[in-house]
Amino acid sequence: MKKVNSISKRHKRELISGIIILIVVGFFALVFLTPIVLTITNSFMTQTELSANYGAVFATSEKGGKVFISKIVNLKFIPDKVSFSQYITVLLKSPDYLIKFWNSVILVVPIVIFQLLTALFASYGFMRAKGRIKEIIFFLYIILMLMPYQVTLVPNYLVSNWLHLIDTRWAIWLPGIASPFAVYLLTKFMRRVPTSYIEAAQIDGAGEWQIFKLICAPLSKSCLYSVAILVFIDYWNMVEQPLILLNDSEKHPLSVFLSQINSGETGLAFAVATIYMVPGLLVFLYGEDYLVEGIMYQGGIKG
Amino acid sequence: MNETSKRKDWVKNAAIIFLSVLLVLTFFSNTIMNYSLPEVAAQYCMSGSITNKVRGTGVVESADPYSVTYKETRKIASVKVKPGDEVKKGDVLYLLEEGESGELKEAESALKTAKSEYEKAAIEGGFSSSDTANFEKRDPNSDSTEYQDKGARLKKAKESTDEALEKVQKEIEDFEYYTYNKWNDGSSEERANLDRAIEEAKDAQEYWERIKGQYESGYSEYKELLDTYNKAQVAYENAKKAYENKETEANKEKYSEAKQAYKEAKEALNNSTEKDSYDQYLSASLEFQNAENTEKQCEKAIEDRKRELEKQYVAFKDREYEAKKASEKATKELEEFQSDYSGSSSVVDLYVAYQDAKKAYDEAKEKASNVQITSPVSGVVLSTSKVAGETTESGEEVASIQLAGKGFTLSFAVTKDQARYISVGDEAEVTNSYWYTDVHAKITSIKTDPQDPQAGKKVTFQLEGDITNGQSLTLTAGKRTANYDFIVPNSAIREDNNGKFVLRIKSKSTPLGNRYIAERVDVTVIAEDDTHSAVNGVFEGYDYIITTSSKPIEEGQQVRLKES
Repeated sequence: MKKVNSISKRHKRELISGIIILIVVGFFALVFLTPIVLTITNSFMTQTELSANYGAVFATSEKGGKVFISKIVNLKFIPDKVSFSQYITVLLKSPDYLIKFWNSVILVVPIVIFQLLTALFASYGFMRAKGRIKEIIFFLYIILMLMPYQVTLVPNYLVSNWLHLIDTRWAIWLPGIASPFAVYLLTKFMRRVPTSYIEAAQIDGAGEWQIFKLICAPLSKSCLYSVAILVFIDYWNMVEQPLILLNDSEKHPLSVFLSQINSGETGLAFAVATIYMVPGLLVFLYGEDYLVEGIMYQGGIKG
Repeated sequence: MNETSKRKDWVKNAAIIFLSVLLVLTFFSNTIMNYSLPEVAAQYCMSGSITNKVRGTGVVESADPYSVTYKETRKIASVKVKPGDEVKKGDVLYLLEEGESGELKEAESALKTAKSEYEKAAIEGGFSSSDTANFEKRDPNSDSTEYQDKGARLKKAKESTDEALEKVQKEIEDFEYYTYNKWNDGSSEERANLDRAIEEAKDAQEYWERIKGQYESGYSEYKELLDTYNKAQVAYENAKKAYENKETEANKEKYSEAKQAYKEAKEALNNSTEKDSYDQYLSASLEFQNAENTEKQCEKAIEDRKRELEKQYVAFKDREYEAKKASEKATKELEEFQSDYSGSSSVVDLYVAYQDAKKAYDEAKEKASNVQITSPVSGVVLSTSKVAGETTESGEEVASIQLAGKGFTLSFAVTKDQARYISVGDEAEVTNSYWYTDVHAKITSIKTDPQDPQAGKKVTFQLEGDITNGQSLTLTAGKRTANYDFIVPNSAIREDNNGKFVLRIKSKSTPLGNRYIAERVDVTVIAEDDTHSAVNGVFEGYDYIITTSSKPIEEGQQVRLKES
């Protein structure tokens, strides 16, 4: 009897705590999901409806004053009339946005691929090398990783200018490829590879390349996926680098356009943002497990 | 694991589909977009020449219409023509109602009055019918009659005597005003000077009278010494003379004594303290003497002058009297002569007036017998100002006729810049000339436009041909050709509130090919003809200017080029 009572009490406590956690998490989930839902639903509204809802926020006259129908900003989730006009404009009537989408792809995909490659080799090096210099270099990597981009922006620009890379995509690619974040993560992961595997391979006569290719790299797969996802999301949303390093607006990615919305294009901005979310979402959905696994490994929790 | 792999497959497929769709849309985006873009035709902006022409529209007016007037007051019975009718000289314009005109009635009344006055004067003058017959024969306006000669002679004599009298009277008046009265009242300058001189002389005399006593009392001792001196001088002279005549001892002694006495008297006189005052007395007395003399002379001069003026005045008066007499005589003679003929002269005048009135009546009667108003010239009727039932006024215009072969004019306003492209004598073309056959226009004048004297000119054309008054015509003139740097077709020039502009094509190269944007260039049109215009603007040389488009386009809009 006592045992049954204690079990039910535990259940109750767990239930209550579960509910509380659910409420808190649900609240935060709502807060984080609302903008996304708003973006998606507003992308199906006409421009007139959007101007009426958000005119007070965006509308300005030529003289700089505010011009709007209603002072109150209306956050509407359900359109008065579902319209695909924004998507038609974005996808069919103007190649600008599609070109900017592919600009984003062209900028991000090489960065992801080559950063992973670079990081893979660098992390193997950091894992296998011994000595003080290695520690110093790795320490510098960490320092660099901790710095926000704005700190390294000016030296980045100066070096690109010196190398005549301004207004070329290389000004974006090269710093991206050499980013220390992936190196750090992969190094941390590779250090967890049991040395017994490596010693066994060495005993079998494997060289460094074979060890890297047959042991370390396959074991780092999950980490690679998670790093790839994180890097993709990071660089898919970049605004400052292309804005500063690319003068030609034809080469700008879609993230730059979204950062420069004016009052006449709110409908287009919602549609573009919705399309823009899809690759990130797909990447995440594809590599969700790896991401979780990678985070777990970071936290030192064995799965 | 199954679920995970299923989800992964699903995500992979979704990603592939998404990217494929985007790729296909990107590939076809330009094609789809171009179909929605306006298609434009364009051509290069080059240099060339423009034949500057001036175009304008005006109303045709008759060059020199003939105004038909009628000199009587008559009532219109009917109007026989209307504007636009062609008439020849003598053609009937209006039919008049039968009846007397106002002028005829007035002439008849004047004739009756003149006749009665003449007959009355003849009867009162006691003239017989034979006398009146003589008068009627006599023409008082002729210069050959004795009456006229004598009357004229007497009249002339009277006039000359009257003139002579007037002249004398005028001379007297002038004499009195300028000379005689001025002398008598002392306002003449000569008289004033004399009077002033007399006054001064009298003042001097009065002054001398006042101070004379002082002098006389002041040098009594000097006077004695002067007497002594004079005496001594006389004695000396005598003694000297006697001695020179006869040099005796007694004479010599007397001479010495006299000389000594004279010397002492002289010395005493010179040393006298009253010498100065005596000298002053002498000069003052001299002045007094002079003043007396002056006074006498002036008074004499006044008297003389007065006498002279009196004489002149009397002479004038005599002449006036004579002239008056002559004038009276001539007047009397003339009046006597006129009184002899007074009756006949007025009768003759009235007879002449009667004849004039008769003549005027005959003329009015002849005019009143007309029952129509005819055209005095050939041409085209422009306007008629009367209708049936209305009454004409004497001298009023009743119709206006465009003379045959005289032509028409047309005017319109142009700017001063446009006026430079044309000159007097230039031929002009009629727009839509196929509508008007054989119409010729020529510029006859280019003058300042009275409605816009600052910036406008009025151009007048002489027109000939098959046109009518009141027609609206558009004329184009000017043949001057000039070279310009930028020539564009007229269809390329657009206009909005900010002025005229053209749209040029700017090409932009993109990853998906060239894209064409319409860019605005503000221009000013400096010359134009029917097809092209010369413009001024910020061109970059060989700009591709949009001439036509399938849809309205705005600045900054993307366009596609027409496929050639």
